[in-house]
Amino acid sequence: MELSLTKVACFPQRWSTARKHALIRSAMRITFAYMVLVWSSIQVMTANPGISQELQQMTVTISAHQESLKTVLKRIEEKTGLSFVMPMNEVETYTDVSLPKMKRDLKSTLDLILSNTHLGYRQINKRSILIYVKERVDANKVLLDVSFKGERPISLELPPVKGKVVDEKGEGLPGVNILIKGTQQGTISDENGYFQLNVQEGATLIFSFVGYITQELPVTNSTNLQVVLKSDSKALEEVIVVGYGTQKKSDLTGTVASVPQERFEMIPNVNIAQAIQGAVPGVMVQTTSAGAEPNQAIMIRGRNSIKADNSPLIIVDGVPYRGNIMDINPNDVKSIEILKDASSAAIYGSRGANGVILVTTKQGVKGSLKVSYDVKLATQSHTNLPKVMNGEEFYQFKEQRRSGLITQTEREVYDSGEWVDWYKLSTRKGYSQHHELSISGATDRLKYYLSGGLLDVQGISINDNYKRLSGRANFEMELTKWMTLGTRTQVSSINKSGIAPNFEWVYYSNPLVRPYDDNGNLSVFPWPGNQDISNPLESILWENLDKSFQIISNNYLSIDFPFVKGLNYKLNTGIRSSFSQMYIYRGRNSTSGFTQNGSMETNRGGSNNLVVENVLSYQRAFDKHSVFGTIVYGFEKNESGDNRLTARGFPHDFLGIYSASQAQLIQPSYSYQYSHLISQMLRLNYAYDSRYLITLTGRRDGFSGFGANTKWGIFPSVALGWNIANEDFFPAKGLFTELKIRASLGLNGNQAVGPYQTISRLASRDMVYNRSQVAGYIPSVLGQEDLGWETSKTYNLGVDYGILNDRVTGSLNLFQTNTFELLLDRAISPVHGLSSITQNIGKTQNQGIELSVDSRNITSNNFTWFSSINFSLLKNKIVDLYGDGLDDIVNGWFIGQPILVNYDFEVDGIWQQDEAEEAAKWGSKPGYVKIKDLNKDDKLTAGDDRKIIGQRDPRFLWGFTNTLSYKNFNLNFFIHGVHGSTRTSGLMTDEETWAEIRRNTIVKDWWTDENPSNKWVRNEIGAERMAGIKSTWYEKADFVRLKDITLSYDLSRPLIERLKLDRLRIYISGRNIFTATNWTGLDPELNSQLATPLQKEFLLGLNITF
Amino acid sequence: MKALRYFSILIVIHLTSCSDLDPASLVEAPPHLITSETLYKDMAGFEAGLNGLYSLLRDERTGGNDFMLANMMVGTDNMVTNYTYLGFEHIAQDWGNINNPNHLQYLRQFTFLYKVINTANTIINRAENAQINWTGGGSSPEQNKNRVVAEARAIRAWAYRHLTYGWGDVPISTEESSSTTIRTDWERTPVAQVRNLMLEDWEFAEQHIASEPSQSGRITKGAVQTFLSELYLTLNNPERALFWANKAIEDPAYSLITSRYGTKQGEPGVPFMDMFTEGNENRHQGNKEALWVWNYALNVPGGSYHNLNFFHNGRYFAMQINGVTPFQLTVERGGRGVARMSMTKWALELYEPQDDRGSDFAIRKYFVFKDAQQNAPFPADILPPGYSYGDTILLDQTNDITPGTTLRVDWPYSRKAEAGSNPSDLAGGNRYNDFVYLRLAETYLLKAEAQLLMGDRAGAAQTLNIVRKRSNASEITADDVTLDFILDERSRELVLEEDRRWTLLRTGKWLERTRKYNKNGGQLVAEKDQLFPIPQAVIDANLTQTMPQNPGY
Repeated sequence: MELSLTKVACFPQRWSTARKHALIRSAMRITFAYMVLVWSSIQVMTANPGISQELQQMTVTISAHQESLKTVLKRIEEKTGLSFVMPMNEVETYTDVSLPKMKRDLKSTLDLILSNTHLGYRQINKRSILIYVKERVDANKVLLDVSFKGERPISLELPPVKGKVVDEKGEGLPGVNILIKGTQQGTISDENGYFQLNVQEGATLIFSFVGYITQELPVTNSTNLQVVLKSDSKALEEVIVVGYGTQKKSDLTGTVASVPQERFEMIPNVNIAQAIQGAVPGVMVQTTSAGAEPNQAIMIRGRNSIKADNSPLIIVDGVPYRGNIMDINPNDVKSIEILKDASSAAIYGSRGANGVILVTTKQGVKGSLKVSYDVKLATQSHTNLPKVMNGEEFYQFKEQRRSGLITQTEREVYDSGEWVDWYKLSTRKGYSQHHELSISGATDRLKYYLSGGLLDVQGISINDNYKRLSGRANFEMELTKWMTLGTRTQVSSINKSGIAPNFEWVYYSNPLVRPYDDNGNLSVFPWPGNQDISNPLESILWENLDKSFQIISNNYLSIDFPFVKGLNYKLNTGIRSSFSQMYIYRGRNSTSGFTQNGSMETNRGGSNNLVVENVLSYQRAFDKHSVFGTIVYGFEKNESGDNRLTARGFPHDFLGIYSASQAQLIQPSYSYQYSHLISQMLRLNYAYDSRYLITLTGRRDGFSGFGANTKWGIFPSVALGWNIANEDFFPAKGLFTELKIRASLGLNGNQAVGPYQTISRLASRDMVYNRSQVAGYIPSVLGQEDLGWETSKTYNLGVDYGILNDRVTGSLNLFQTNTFELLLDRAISPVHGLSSITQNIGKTQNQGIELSVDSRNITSNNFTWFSSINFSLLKNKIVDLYGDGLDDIVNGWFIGQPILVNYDFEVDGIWQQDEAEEAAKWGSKPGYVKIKDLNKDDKLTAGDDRKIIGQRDPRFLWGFTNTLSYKNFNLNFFIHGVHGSTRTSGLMTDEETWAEIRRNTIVKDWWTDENPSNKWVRNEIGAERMAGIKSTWYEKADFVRLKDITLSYDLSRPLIERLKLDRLRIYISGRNIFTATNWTGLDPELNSQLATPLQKEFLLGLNITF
Repeated sequence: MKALRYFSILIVIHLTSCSDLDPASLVEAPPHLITSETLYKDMAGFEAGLNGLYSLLRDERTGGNDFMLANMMVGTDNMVTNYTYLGFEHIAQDWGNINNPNHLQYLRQFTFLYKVINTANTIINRAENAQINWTGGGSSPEQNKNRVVAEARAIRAWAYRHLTYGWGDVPISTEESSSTTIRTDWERTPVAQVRNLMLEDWEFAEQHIASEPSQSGRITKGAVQTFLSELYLTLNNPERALFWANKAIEDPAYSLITSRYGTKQGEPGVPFMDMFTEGNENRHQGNKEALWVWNYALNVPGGSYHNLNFFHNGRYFAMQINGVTPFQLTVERGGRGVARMSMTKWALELYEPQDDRGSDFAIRKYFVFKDAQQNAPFPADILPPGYSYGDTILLDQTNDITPGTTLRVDWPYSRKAEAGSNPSDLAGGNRYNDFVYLRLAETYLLKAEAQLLMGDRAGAAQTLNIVRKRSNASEITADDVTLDFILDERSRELVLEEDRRWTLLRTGKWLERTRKYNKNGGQLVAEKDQLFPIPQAVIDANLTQTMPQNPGY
C-alpha cells in the first residue's frame, strides 16, 4: 500500500497507537529511533537539509520557564510565522524547557531548546521545519522498525536488509516510509537516509515520501540497498509564479500553465518560444521563419485581434520585456508560467488580453558553490525542399511553353550540361554550438547565480550566422533582517553579420546561367542577356555588420515590515537598454553594387525602457483563513530612435562605407518614438480552509498613445475556486487526490497600437526643381482622436484534477473570449485619398477547450514512463465589424467566420478532354484550370463567385510528451500536431516564370494529352486562368511532427562520487526529425514558402555539475 | 541608522519617479511629426505642400512592370501590347473578362488619383484659414495665396480629367479627408457635374498662374489654357475651345521649336527631337514649346524616376542573330526597355518619307554593330558569324504585332523613349530625365479640332500646317481636314506623349480606330471597354450605399 497525501495528513490522529506499539517494541530491542514526517505547510519548495540562511537570519525573542516543549515551539511558530512539523507524542514527552529571555537567531534558539532531547530539526521548506527523532547510536548499526498497527510483530529471525535512501542529488533522505508490500510492517529512514529492516528475501519494499515518486523494490540478497527517490514535481505542492508574487498551486483560481522543465533541457532551443511550443494547451507557437535566427509567433488562446498584435505580454523577472526573445538565454530560465484566463492576466490590464508569459530566471540556492557546464553541439540540415526544375527540366519546360525563347547563353549552359543547382550553392551543413557555464550558491546573506553563455549558429543557408554571447548576474542580498536587495541582470551581445542569399531568388533563378565568371568569382550578371537578373548569391559579397547589445537589469528592494507580519513592500525596477548597429556595403563585384556604383546602408539605433513599480503585499493565514492582498502603482516608459544613412554612387570600393561622404547620393534619416504608461493594480486573494477560494483584481492603466478622452482604462476580474476534494462529503476521496473547480470572468486590454496613432499627419514627399531637392509633404495618416484599448471579456471554467494517488493529474478548461472595440485598420473608400483608418470598432469571439493529462504510467525502481498530453480546440469568429452587420470584403473579413480566412474563387480541378465543349464556353480548353461558377450565371464575378475556402489559423493543436527512464537512461520525445488550417503555398503557380520564362518554378505534374491529370494545369501561359481569373490553389496545412527526441545517460552515482562530481549527463537529441503532412510547399509552419528551409537538427550534449 | 540610510535611498528613487506618475506625462508631444496644423501656417508651408503635390502626381509615370497610367496609351490605334505582364497591357491584349473590376491596376490608379485630389483639397481648404501669413517672395500676400490655390486647383482638375475619361461618373471630393468625415455612401456624380468643377478650377487657375512656371517642373498658364481647350472640346463647345487654345498660342512666352537647340545641336538630328534630348526639356533650357515639364533627377533626394521609356523602349539586347545575342545595353540605345507596349504597324507607317517625326532620328529602325570604342564605356557588341562592325541590322515591321506574334524584340520604337537611363544601371527600369508632359503642338492640334468642329476647315488646315511644317511634312489643304486626319496628325506628332485613349474617347473614335489599327487586342474591344470598371474595392468599401458599376461589368 502506498501512502497518499491525504493519508499522510491523517498521521497525527493515528500516531498514538503507532507510537504505543513502537514504545513497547523499543523496550524489547537494543535501541530504536524513528522519524516522522507530517506534511503541512504553506509553501514547499525542495527539501533542503539544515536551515536556510533566511531562517538563520530570522531572529526570535523568547523566554521559557519550565514550560512544555510543545508550548515553546508553538510560541516560536506564532512569532516567526513558521510551522513545525513534529511527532507530537515525542515532543510531548518534554515538559521542562527553560530559556532565558534573549534575542537569538532561530538556529541558536532551536539548538538550545532541543539540546537535551533526542530530537533534531531540519528545514523542509521556506516556512516549515521538521522536528524528528534523532537516532541514539551509530547510524549504520541502528535498526528502525516500526509496525504501524503492530498486529503482527516482525519475526526476529528474518535477515536484516540495510540500505540508504537518497534523493537525486545523492543526499540522504530522512523520514522515508518503507513498507513491506502486502503488510503493515515497515520502518522509516533516519536522519541520513539509512534504514534497516528485517525482511524475507523475495519480498518487495515500498519506499514512499511526500514529494517523491513512490518506488517498489524487490529485496535481493544485497544487504546494502541504495534507493534513489526521484522528486515528483507534480505532486509537490507547487508554487506558481502568478505575477507580482507567487501562489500555492492549490490556491490558484486562474488558469496558469507551467512549461515542463524537460522542455528546457537537452533540447536545441535557441529561444524560449521553442520550449513553449506544444508544451501547454491553448498556446500556439508557430515557427514563422527558419534559419540561424528562427522566428516564432506566439498566440495564446487564439486570435482576438484582427489588426493588432496577437502576441502575449512577456514578463521577465517581474518586468515587462519588450526586446527580442532571442536575446534571452533559455539556459538561464528557471520557469515559465503562462497566464491564460482573464483573472490571472487581468493584473496586466491593458496588455493582458493576449495572455502573459512569465519568465523567471535562476537564482542561487543554499548549499556549497555549484559549478555547472553545459555544452550542446548540433548539426543542421533541411527538413524539406520543394523540387525546382533542373537544367534539363527547365529547358524542356521553356521550350514547351513557348518555343524559341531559349537564349544563346542558356543554350550554351544547357549544351555544356553544367547547369546550376542554386540550392546546392546556397546551402551548407549547418552547425551550432552552445556553451554555458554557471556558478551558483548562497551564503548566509547572499544568493548568487552567475552564468555566461555562447551560442554560435551557422545556419544551413550560406552566410547565415548568429552568435550570441550572454551573461547573467543574479544576486539577492539581505541588507538587514527585513530588507532584501536584489538584482537580476543580463547582458547579451548578438552578432548576425552576414546576409544569406535571398531564397526567393534561389528558387526562382534560372538554372541555365553561369553563377561564376571565368575568374571563378561570382558573376555580376549571371545571365548576360538579362542584366536585370541579379546573382542570387550576391549578398555573400556584401560587407555587412549587424550587431546588437542589450542590457536588462531588474533591481528590487523588498522590505518585510517589522511590526506587521505578512506585510511586504517591494520596489521593483527594470531597465532595458539596447543598442544596435548595422551596415551593408554593396561593392561593384555584386549585381546591385555594380548597378549603383556601390551602395550602402547604415543604421544605429537604441532604445531605453524603464519600469518602476511599487508593490505592497500582505499575505497571512489566520486559522482557516488565508489572505493575500497586492497593490501596485507604477509606470513604464519607452523611448527609441535610430539614425540611418543610405548612400550610393561611390568613387571606388576600397573604403566601403567609410567613403560615404564622397558618394553621389547621401540620405540621412532619423526616427523617434516615445510612449508612457501609468498603472495601478489591486488584487485580493482569499482562501477559506483551502476549500473556498476567491480572487478579485482590478487594474487601471493610462497610456500616452491613446486619445485625450480615452487615456485610461479599467480592467476588473473575479475568480472563484472550490477544492471540492477537500470537502468532508466528497465521496471519491480514494480516487481523487485533487479536484478543484474554478471559474473566472474579467476584462483585459490589448494596447494594440503604438504611439501617435491619434494624430493625423503628413509624410515627407520631396520634389526636385531643376535637379535641386525641395521639401514636400502630403497627407499620409488619418488619426482617430478617440482611440482606446481593445477590450477582451473572458469567461473561464476549469477543473484541476489529480486521480489515483496523483498518478494522473491535469486540468480541463473551457473558455470564451469576447473582444470588442477592436482596433481595426478599417478599409475606407479610396475616394478619401487614403485607404484606411484605425478605429475602435468590431467584435470577435474565441471559444475553446483545453485539456491536459499528465500521467505516471509506470513507476518501478528501474523503469519509469511518464507521459503528458495536451489538446486545445479553438473556434474563432468575427462577431461584428463596423456595427452595421456587414462584411468587409476588401479586407476579407466576414461576420460569423474566423478572422483569417481564404476568400477566393474555387478551383474545381482541370478541364478534361471530354469537357472541351463546356470549357470552350469559358474561352478555355482541356488542360486549363476549371474554376467554379458558384451562382451558375455563366460569368465569373468577384461579387458572386468567391467563397470562403477554409481558415488560416489552425483549429486543433496538441502536444504529446513521453519520458521513459531505465536505470540511468532517459528517453524523452515530443510530438506536436497542428490541424485545421488551409493555406496557399505560393509555389503552386507557373506564372512566376514570367512571359519569357526567365524564372524557375517547382516541378509539377503538368497536364498533357497523354497524362490528363487533375493535379496541375497544362504548361501554357494562361492555363492557370479561366475567364481572366487567376486560380489560386489551396491546401490543408495540417501536420504532425516529431519535434524533439532526446536520449540521455546520467553517470551512475558511485562513479560520480569517485570523480567528485555532482552530476554528469550526456545526451543526444534530434529536432524536426519526422513530419507527416500533405502540404506540398516548403513547410506548413513557415509563413513564406520561398524562404530558408526549416532545419532538422541532431545534437550531442553534455552537462557536468560539481 | 542603517535603516535610515536605506530609506533615504528609497525616497530618492521615489522623488525621481514622481513626475513619471503624473497623468500629464501621458500627453504626447512628438518632436518628429508634421501635421496639417503645423505645416499650413505660412507661405513656406504652403509651398512645401505644393512640392508634395507635384512630387506625388509624378506617380502617374511610375510603377515598373505595373506602370501606373499605361491605360491612357496602350490598347489604342497607335499603341499595342507586345510583351505581356500583369499590368494594363495584359488587359489591352485580351479585353473580355480580363478587363474586370478586380484587376488591381484599376484600384491603384483610382487610389492614386484620389490621393492627389485629397492632397490638393488639403491645400485648398487650409488656405481659407484667416490666420495664415501669406507674405513672401516678390508678390503680394493675396497674389501668393491665389497662386498657391490656383496651382492646387489646376492639379485637382488634372486628376478629375483622368477620372472622368477613365470611369465616367465619379464621386466628387472637394474637402480634406479627416477621421470625422469618413463616408460609406459615396455617390457617383454625373460626369457633367464633375467637368463643371474642373472648369471652375481651371478657370480660376488660369487667372492666377503665370506663363512661366513658379518653379521649373510646375504647371503654367499655357498648360491650363490647353486643358481648358480640351475640356471645352469634350463639352462640345468648340468656340470656347478655340478661345482657350488661342490664348496659349498667342502668348509670346510659347512658341514651337523650329530650329535645332540644346545639348546635341551640333550632332546630326532634327529640331523636333531636340525637346526629347536629356538637358533640353525645360523652358529655361530653351524649350519654349513646353507648357508643363515634369522634373526628375538621378541621385538627388526627391528626384524620383519615371518608367514610360522603359515600358516602351525595345528589347534590342535580346535580339538573336545567327545564334548570337549581339547588342549591348548602351545609353545611346536607351538602356534596357521591355517593349510592353509598342507602336502599331499603322502608327509606324503614318509618316511621309520626309517627315522628321518619322525619321531615323525619331524612330529606332535599325542598329549598327559597334565596337568597344563606339559603345564606350560599354562593351563592344558581339559579332554574329558573318558580320563586322558598322554593319546594320534592320528592325522588322513587315508583319504587325498580333496574338501569335507578340514578344517582338526587333520591333521599331519611338526614340522619344531613349532618354534618361542611368549609365551605371542600364538594366534598371528607372529613367531620370525630365520630360515634356504638355507642349504647344498639342494646343495647335486642339485648335485645329475646334476649327474643324466650327466648320473652319481652311483655318484648321492652316493650324495643322504650322505643326507639320516644323517637321517637313507636306502642307495640307482644307479638303484634307477631317477628324480622322487630325487624329492621325496627333499620332504623328504626339505618339507616346498624349493620352491617346482619352483623345479617342473624347472624339468617339476609340472603338472604331482601335479595332481598325490595333491587331493584338483591337479585334476584341467591346462597347463596355470604353469605360473602365469601378474598382471592386471602391464598391465594396461603400458599405451603406450601393455604388453602381459601369455597364457590362
